[in-house]
Amino acid sequence: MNKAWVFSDNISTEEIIRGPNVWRQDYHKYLFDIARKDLNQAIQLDSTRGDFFVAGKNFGIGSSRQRAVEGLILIGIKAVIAKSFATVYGDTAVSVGLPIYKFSRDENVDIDDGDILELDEDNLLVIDQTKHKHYRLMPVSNVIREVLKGGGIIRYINEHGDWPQLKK
Amino acid sequence: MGSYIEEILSLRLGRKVVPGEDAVVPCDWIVAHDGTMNYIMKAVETSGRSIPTDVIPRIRIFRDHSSPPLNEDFEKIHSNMGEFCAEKGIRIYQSGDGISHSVMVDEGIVEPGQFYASADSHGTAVGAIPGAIGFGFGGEKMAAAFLTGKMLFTVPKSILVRFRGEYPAGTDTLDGGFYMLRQLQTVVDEVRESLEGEMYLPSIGLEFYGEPVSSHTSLEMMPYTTLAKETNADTAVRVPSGKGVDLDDYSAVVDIDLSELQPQVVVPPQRRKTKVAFEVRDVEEVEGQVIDKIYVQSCTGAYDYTFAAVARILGGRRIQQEVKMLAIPATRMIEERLMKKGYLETLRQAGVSVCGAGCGACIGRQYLTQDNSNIISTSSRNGRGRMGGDSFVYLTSGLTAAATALNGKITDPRRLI
Repeated sequence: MNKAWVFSDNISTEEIIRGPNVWRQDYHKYLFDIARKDLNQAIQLDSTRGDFFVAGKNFGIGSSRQRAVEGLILIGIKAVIAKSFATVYGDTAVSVGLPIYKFSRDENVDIDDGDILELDEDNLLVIDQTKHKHYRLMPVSNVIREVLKGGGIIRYINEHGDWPQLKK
Repeated sequence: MGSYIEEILSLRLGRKVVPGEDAVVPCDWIVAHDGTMNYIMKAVETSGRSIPTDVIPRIRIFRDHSSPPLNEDFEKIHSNMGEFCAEKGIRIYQSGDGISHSVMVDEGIVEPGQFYASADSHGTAVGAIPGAIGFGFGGEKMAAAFLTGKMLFTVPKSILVRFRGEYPAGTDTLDGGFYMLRQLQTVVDEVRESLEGEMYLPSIGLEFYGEPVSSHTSLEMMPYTTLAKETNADTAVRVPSGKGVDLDDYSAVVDIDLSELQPQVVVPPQRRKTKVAFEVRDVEEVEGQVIDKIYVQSCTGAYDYTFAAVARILGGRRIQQEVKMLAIPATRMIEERLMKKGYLETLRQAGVSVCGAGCGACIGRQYLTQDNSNIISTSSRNGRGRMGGDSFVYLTSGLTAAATALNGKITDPRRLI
């Protein structure tokens, strides 16, 4: 619970869930299966409930496969906090209701696997309780906040009848 | 003046838009396939809403990722899709009709000025049609497009890619595409950094410009508009010849001189020497690498010109005994054209297996591979394990693939011409 799993830059959706496994009923058991050899990840998929993913730049590059997002929800990931997201991945995460956050640009993030984190959404802070450090998060865009609050894009459309009305 | 992407989108929306703006746009085409329809069908059914009647004719569904379906699960997906579409009056293609983007481009279904929303990140491909623009989206958002006929997205900021020169013998537009990928990855990364303050999820479009671009057919442009996704851009368009461009409208300008082009090879990620996502090298750096299996396939590299070049190289010869080679045309129409020209016969006589149109081995649902095998593919992605099995995948042009087939090792095609 509340543990960090740390990833470097440019993690692809292929590494998250490979083409040959994405269609399986129990696909979430195959997350990071081969990539782990390269990523040197200690990640144990049966112990991730209530944890966070912490990543570098461009988390989720490549294919738009939705299960690269849903798989994280299935293994209990509460949120992904990254330096930046690949556009389609970030967009899909919001559409499906997986919370995403971005570190403020000037933050030097020093979080390790297993650090206990606390997410303060109101003040846009991530607190590393293990290292006694905290990091500011970028303010989330209005549209993203609306959709996440609504529980994803389909629920939003069901409730409001249309896409979010955009404020200029 | 605005970039060309701003122009296309402003015209489509009927008002001026600027990069970074979140806009809701009517979709001229809503395209999904057997890799993504599961999520879309589930989301549509759970929503309890019906697909509006004016949206139905704009939807096209393809069976390309599992074509033909090789196990019961894939068979079931195909029949579920068939039932869903029949019930709602949605046009669905058969297994073997070909890859979604390739069909939509080759048959001229997508027209200039149209906005194409695809449940496949290579929806960027339709930028091969001058004035058309395409994006890939996740399944849930595509379901929302089914239910509303519209899509919410961020207007991209553009990078101008200016081409000049002529392709040297032994190279083609797929080499050009890999070379473009080689140049653009770091530029897209830098532009993303610079947009961080302006856009929460920065959106970037590549604009291909210059005399070579103007003289290409739509299918010749497919390597560029599909590989654009691998640069980590979000869309790609062809700027029409004669259109003036103002460099101030672009975050970056990249010049590509095709006359310097050599056959390019994207090496397997396990054999990269750098940290870049796709490491592209000149063929001479990897010549001699033993290859077990070769695929001429995918929305990036399985077109008429690809197979014409392969047939020219393999004509009257046999491929190496130890090499398995498969040719999987991007669409059924292409397959028929190749058949009429005698190319498929030439390939078969050379020892190539010619298969029905579809995505082929690219996404690991067909023609699975053994661990530690060395593979060539004329496609856009070689992520570790993507094609099934822990194999080493090299991405090359059809020319390099054919030359390699004759020797059993990666071979510079310029040696044979």
